[in-house]
Amino acid sequence: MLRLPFRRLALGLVFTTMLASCDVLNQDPPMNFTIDDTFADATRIQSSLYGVYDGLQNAEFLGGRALIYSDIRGGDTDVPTQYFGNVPLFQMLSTDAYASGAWTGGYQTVFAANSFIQNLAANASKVTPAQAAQYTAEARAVRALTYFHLVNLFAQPYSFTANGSHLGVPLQLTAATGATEAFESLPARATVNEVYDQIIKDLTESIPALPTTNSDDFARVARMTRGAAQALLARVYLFKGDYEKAGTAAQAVISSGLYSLDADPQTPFDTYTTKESIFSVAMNIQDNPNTNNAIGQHYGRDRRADIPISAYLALPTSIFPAGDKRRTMVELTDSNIPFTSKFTTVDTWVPMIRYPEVLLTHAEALTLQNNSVTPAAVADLNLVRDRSKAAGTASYTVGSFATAADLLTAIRNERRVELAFEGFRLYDLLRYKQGVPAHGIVPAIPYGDNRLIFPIPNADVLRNPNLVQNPGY
Amino acid sequence: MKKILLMSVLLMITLLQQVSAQTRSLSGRVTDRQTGTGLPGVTVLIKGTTNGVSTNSDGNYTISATSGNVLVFSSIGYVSQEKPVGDEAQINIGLSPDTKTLNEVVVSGYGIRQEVKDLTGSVAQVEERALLTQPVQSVDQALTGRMSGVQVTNSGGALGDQAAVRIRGANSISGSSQPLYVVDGVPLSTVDNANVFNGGDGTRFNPLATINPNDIESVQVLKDASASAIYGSRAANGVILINTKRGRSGQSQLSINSFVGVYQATRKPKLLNGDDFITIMNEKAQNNPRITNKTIASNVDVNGDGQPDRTNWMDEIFRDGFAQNYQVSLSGGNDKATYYGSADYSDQKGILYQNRLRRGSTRLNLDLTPKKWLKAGISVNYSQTENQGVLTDRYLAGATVSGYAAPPNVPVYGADGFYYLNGAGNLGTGANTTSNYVFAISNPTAVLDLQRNANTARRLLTNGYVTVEPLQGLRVTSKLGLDYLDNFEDQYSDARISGLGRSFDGLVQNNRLDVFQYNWQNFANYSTIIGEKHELNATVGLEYQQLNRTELYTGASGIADPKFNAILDGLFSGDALAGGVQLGNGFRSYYGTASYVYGNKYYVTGTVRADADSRFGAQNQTGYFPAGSVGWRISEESFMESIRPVLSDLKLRASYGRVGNSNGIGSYAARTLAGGGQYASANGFAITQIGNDALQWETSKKLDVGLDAALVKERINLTVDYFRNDIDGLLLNAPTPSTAGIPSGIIARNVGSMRNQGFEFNVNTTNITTESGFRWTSTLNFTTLKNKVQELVTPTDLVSGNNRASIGRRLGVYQLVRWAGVNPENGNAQFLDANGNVKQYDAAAQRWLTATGETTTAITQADAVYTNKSGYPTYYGGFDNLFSFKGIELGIFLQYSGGNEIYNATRAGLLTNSFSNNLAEVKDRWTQPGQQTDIPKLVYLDAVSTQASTRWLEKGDFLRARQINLGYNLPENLSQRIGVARARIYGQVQNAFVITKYKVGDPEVNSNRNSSNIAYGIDNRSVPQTRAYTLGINFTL
Repeated sequence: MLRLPFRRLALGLVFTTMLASCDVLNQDPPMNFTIDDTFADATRIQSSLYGVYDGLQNAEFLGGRALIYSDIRGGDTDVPTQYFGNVPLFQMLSTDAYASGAWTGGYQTVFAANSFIQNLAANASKVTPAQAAQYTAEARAVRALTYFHLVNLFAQPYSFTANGSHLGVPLQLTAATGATEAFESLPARATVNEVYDQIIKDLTESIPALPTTNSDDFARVARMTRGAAQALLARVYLFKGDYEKAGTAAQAVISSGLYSLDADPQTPFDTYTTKESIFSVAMNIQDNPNTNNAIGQHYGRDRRADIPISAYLALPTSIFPAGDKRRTMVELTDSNIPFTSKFTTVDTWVPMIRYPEVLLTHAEALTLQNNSVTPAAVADLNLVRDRSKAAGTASYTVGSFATAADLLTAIRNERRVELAFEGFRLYDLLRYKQGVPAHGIVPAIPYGDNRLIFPIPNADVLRNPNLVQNPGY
Repeated sequence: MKKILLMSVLLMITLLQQVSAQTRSLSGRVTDRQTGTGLPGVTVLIKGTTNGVSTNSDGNYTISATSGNVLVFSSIGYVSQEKPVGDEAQINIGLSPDTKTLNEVVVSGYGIRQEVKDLTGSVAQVEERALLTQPVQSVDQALTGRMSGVQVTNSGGALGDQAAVRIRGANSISGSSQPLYVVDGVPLSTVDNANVFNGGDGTRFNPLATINPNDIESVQVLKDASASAIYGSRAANGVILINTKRGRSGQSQLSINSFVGVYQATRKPKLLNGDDFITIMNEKAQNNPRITNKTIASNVDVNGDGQPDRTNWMDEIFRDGFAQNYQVSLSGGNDKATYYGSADYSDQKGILYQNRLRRGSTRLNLDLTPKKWLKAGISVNYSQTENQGVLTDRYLAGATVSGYAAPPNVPVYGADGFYYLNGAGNLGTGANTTSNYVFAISNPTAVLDLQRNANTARRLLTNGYVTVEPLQGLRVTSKLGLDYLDNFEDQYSDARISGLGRSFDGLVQNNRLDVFQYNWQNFANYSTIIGEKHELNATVGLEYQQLNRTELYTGASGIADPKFNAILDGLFSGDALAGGVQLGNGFRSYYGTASYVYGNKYYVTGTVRADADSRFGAQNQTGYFPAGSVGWRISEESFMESIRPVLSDLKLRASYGRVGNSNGIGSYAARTLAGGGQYASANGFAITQIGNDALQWETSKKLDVGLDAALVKERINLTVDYFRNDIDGLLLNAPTPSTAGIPSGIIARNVGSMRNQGFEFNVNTTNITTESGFRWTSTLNFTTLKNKVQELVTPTDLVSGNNRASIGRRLGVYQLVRWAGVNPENGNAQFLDANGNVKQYDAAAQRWLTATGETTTAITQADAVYTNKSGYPTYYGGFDNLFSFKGIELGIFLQYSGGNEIYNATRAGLLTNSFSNNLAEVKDRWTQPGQQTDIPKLVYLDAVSTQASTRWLEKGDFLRARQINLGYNLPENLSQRIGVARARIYGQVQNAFVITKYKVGDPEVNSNRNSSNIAYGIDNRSVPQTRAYTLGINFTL
């Protein structure tokens, strides 16, 4: 008698639970914002700007590797096949993973800059006009720096054809906002000249909006400043062969009075925010390109130790005099294999622009522009050389150089020694219209050889029919 | 019809009142025919009615019946019997145990049970024999070769690795083509690999290894749309139903299962010995004109015994493993409650030195029937698995990477007794004088001894249900499943050897992964028989599911001493590291299914399911998945009566439906996300993912036409199926053009469509039965598979390594430069250009030449052509034979697969011109003009001659003796003398031999694991397969 009602009660209970609904479809991602969220107010916009620099830390590109590719193929390091495989051997195939990593990494940095510029434009009212202009300028300067490395890694140097009319890299100046746009973006390669024009445009238009300096040390070196953009512009003009403008841009940095050399050439690699460092990609122990990509991992004796530098120390004393302080910027293993002391830890900052480069650019530009030995050029060269030269060695005077060509050689030798392992060597050789001399097990690779530049990754050539592969790959 | 239906409802209501005026009371006892003990919980039913009772704990029953009634005695696990009622007052009966009963019912979840003979969909199953006490870590591995249409690829002998399971081919090209696993009606959370360090490529741990295979009663695989449609959006890759053992009324028993075994590595690569190594390396240098030092390899005598040091690294990284497994289970019950409980301990030491996996687990499955109309139960399973992993294929320090490459002319240990190391913490160089090693080779023994890559997985898998039967035939159920997985990953990197430890002066990293999924199902099942011949079943329900994943990461560097290789207060001086991840996704579904059977002859089933998944764009969250099937049991027709002695059962069936897939995409795949964009000490935000609003379900339209037949008094049972799966909206984390710079380079996208089709045959035969008791039965299954990519939204192929998804071709087709052999005159490697012209590479001079020796342009990827094969087999199957005679059983189980080509990157990597050990076959290299060989002249550091080409493609065909098992069942009088009801002892060899032409390694391989369905079937230093010799016992008390 009691059974039926109880049964119904039980059934009722089951039905009640069945009808209770759960909202399982509305999921808020615990680790994410929408883009609108990140541009909601001035504070978050500033954080979004740091996202651009986060992009610059790309482990496959300017977080370290992009600099390494220039040096390990320039002959002044040993030939590190052990980690970098066919890259230093100049026998890469178009399926090479390093080429593909660099290409992808570089364009990811460009994306970070582009998307910030776009989204800031849409939310400009939330910051002051001055802030909007400065932030945009910083992002454009980051983009310019990235394109400079992309075009030099994947294309022949500017001087390869008259007016840089040969193929450069695709110019991607907007960021896709959705899937369709991303998949349908199939750009062709711009010419090298077009890429240089874009870099120059970005830098020139950024310079007025960038701060000359910054109150805190971190921002002064780890963020783009007017000096950084001017220094980069000087480099770009030098590579383009426009020596007058290179000289002017370098002079602007020098005249600012904000930068000076440390007494010891090792100092800027231990203390990242001295006045010698104009712009570096910052790292710390929580945020770095990891143990397989960081520049300090590859070069550090006590880390991965992939890249010994005996070739650097073996430079003839006519180029790298005995007793030069920079010969001591070395860490030796138990079996006397030398490694550089510039980059030694996983969180080493990656130097992008140091003051010595600006001085040497200025000197080189003046010398090339005037085709004469100018006191100003000699003075710049001395500034860099004197702090490292062997005790008892005299400074240069104008009289030290019989011809402009002699001075040019001295400037370029100084550049080679001072900026070693900072991503210049191969690009400088190509700029000088020189190939890579035979070194170690690598035969001489003549100027103009296809192998001097990276292949466009095969996967991308397959995906994008407009993308033309470099010859020989 | 309508009237009949109404009448029967009325009839039922009357029956419920159990009015019984003209009946008399009848009693009796039901016993087990074998043991004679009383059987509780046996249903005694008056045939043709729903009037029945259950036996009590002694097996006694009392029922009201009239003369002329027929009583039906049925109990799970026993053969049902019918007995007409005469004038007697008592009917006693003995039931025989029926071991087959359970397998003849498919429990497809949501309370839906179907007898196998009534199936109109395609379902495959594996019996307990194939699962019990197998030397495997997880149930997926035991399914290899057992079922038609189910391809299981074990990726190698590293313990805890997941097997790749593909049901009727790859039905998706997204990250996962893995089927849905459903345990006791509750879907498991989908975690392919619980380990996250090294991007999951370091050591792997398959969470399925937390489930004790010995607890499994049956595994059933739902292959076609009709069978699997009830799982709607999760069914495209097939559904694997795992039912664990449950108690049976009246059968209290204690079982002890145990085995011990030895594991050995098979088909290890044959490498050069020390002397040959020195010869080969120096010859490489000799042939390279740019090498000034022509003696790059020399003997060294580090230990000072006057003999040059020699190491066979294969002996250092591989060993004979040892496995032991113990399980005790209890089961039993009465008419009110049944139980199954078990505890197990398994300890497996794998073929790789230091690799070990231990699991302890307990299970309790409890079912209560307190009232006739109320049933409730719980299943609780806890397991703890400790896995001592070993880095293998994708890690330079990995055992099969450094271990294979290490020079055999240096020692394991230095003169100081410590591992032989160089200044960078890598393997010491001995007297070898090159710096151009293929990569920084670790000391494999030091890595295995000093590093730790362990994880401890704890999983609590429980479910509980309540079923109410308010009306006869109507059951309403609420079921809640909880799946909690906690994986603690513990990695230590020693400061003395290269890698993380050296970079951080000793590093400990821990990651705690916490995955919680709840699944709540509410459903109602109705079944009725109207008249004699109309059988109707219907189910409706709803389901909610939510998964939350949390990871918490921490690390300590600057470890005080290798002894303190954990995160311990005051015992590390470096930076502490920390991080974490959180995500969640949800799922909601409404579903219904109905089936109608007329007279065991005509069958119709229809299912529809509406699923909504939080991962898709708001507009596309819901998908609808309908399916239907029909069946015709021809053998029931009267015109078949004459041939029934030969053809006792014949059924035609066909099904068609649409199911879905959402596996392999991220939790928030449709959305554009901004997240952490830290810049050193500054917090930042950056775009981390570009979304795809249009992202939607991948759908699979599945057609199945099948035939089931039983011939010659059921001595031959045959099942044949034709299947066709048309998959649309293929989901892929698709690579964008790199120049778009999209974070991580991928956007989830529906990229195209693809078709799989093929035939499946399954034949069970009783080949011989003799009077003397000799019996030979066999099961043969065979599957053919054709695949074609039909449509892509991209203008070009989808690319993954050397494999492509390309319109009109099979998935994963290779696109490679064609190898044209070695020029016998000069030893140059030769390739074909796009037009089929031979070009040869003069490695010494680093130049390309035409066949006639003129300088020419290089072979590039523009010369690559499509092959017509991919890594997917086009046929596969198994052949199982069981011979028995007077308690002796011999099982021989063969597994085969073929029609595919494997890219043997292991072989390519072991035939390089770098400073690295080579395969012994390198001794056949070209050395003199006129020599015919396939290995070009060796030129130090030449990587162009050894580049990816068809040279490294090999046929993947193989036949494997998967299991040879010899068992002996003790005669009853003997086993009872030792106090045991049943006793069986057995010996088994798993993977006894493989017949294949595959050159190095085992052709059952998939180095990309579940990360790519395009580049499937690649062999890249996969761990060799294990051969296991085991001895075991099964006792039942």
